[in-house]
Amino acid sequence: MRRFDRAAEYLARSAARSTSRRGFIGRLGALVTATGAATLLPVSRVRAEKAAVPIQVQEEGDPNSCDYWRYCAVDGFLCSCCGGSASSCPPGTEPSPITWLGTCRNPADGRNYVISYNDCCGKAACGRCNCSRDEGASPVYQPTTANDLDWCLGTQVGVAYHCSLSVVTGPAD
Amino acid sequence: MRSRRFKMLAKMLAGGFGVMALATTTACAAPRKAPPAPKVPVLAVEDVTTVELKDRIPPHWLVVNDVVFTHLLDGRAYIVDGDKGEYLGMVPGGHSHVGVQFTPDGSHLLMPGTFFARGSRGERTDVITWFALKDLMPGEEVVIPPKRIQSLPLLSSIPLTDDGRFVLIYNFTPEQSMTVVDAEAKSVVGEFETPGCALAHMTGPRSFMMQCADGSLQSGALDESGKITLGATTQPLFEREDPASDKPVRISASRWLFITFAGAVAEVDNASGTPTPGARWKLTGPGEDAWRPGGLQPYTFHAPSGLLYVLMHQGGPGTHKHPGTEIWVFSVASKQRVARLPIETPSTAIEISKDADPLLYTALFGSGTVVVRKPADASVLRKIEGLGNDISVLQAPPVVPAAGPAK
Repeated sequence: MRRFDRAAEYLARSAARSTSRRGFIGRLGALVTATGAATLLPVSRVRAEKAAVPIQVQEEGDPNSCDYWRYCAVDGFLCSCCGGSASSCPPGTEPSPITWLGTCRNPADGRNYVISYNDCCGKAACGRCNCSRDEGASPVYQPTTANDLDWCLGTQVGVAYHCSLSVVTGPAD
Repeated sequence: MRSRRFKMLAKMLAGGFGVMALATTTACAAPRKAPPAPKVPVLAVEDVTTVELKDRIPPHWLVVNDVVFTHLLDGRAYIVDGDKGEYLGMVPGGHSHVGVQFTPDGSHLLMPGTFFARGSRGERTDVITWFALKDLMPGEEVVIPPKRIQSLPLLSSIPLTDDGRFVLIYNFTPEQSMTVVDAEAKSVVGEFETPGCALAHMTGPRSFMMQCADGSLQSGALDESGKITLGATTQPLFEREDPASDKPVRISASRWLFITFAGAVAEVDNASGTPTPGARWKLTGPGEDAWRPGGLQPYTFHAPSGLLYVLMHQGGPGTHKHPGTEIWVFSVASKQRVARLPIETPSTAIEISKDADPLLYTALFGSGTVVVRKPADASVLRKIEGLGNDISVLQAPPVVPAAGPAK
């Protein structure tokens, strides 16, 4: 847990620095809030399932396709093609407890959602369905929205990157 | 034991050849009479040898980094000869390979790497290894804290001071810090916190600038023992909506060009130890707003001519990694474009050799090909193909004196 605590502390400090010195609250504020929600209780959000959790019934699109709406800012191998799903890690891998966030528009309801791009970790790269869309992605010195980073940080299994999730964490608006 | 294995192998091979001989005889039931072989001297017995390269790297050799995205554990750097279009050798780089640093005398390549005890798992070791150019063998090494940033390649995450004394390694855990290694003593000096700021863009033998999350720049300095002290910070220089790339271009000892995703340029000088913003200009002119820089290595600067080469493509926000379809050439002094050169192959990396008679290089991620070009018009001189999986960044070496012993 110590690593998780340190990670959460870092993100809080990073967010404080950004918001206090720049004063932009709007879109980034929403992201930072969601970052906190996604990282402060990382372990409780992960549970084992017998099968990959499918996309929600009111969604449209093919989660094995790079065009799928949740992947608007992803850069990596889609876990849907690697034995998992958009929100489930493949067997034998561990989801990263901290991650970066993007905002994507769901065509089914026209709303923007905050998407958490957790990595699944501990095995060599899956190598299937490489998808790089990068919408709203930032350079690595702005890590909360950077997709060039290996986010397998704070895992028990180490930093070997396997694939990327795209998890709905809530409406952005 | 070894002798016994050898005998068994010899028997197996003999058996195999026996089968082959039988098959050959069966297939050639009615052999034609072979023409008499020409009378030439018997081939000489050969020794097994290993190739040696040069003591110092010539300016037209190129280090081609392959992050091997589908097998990230197996990053590597290829060394090629741009003049001859030949492949010369390879240096292994490990997980999430970034690139190399050249020692100032051009005799060694410093390779920061990450490895796991059991391939993709087990204890992680981060290590800087010195490879002599002459034999490309791993030599001395320094084990560093296992915190090196794991990302797509960023050369400013592993800078070497201009005099070759210290290596700086940017860490992201996600706590941010810098490990300093004494390259002479081959030892770790220490780890220094750099909260909110990333990477190190060298601005002198003992000074650098970092990029911070709020769009500001942070200065840093090393003392003679290698300890880092953070200095002045600028106001935010860039908007969140159009951030400066994390791949700025060094145009002199203390000056860098920071270029945003949309192509706005800001020059910053850290000669005084305080980052001082200078001229601001744009890569695009009237009616060219659809054009943007893009790729994993979108720009390169040629100091002898003062020219900046940029990979440009047509696209909107979010296309900062898209390959360039044209090379735009700018005079940094006049801030004017001096050439616009369409290229036949889209490219994600561009580099130019550092000598007065340079070669221009481009590569497309995933192509395995480096294209060697004439800088004046980007025409293709030659191609070097079959270079692995995912070429990320290209590195032309510094121009070094040819004489004198290598250190």
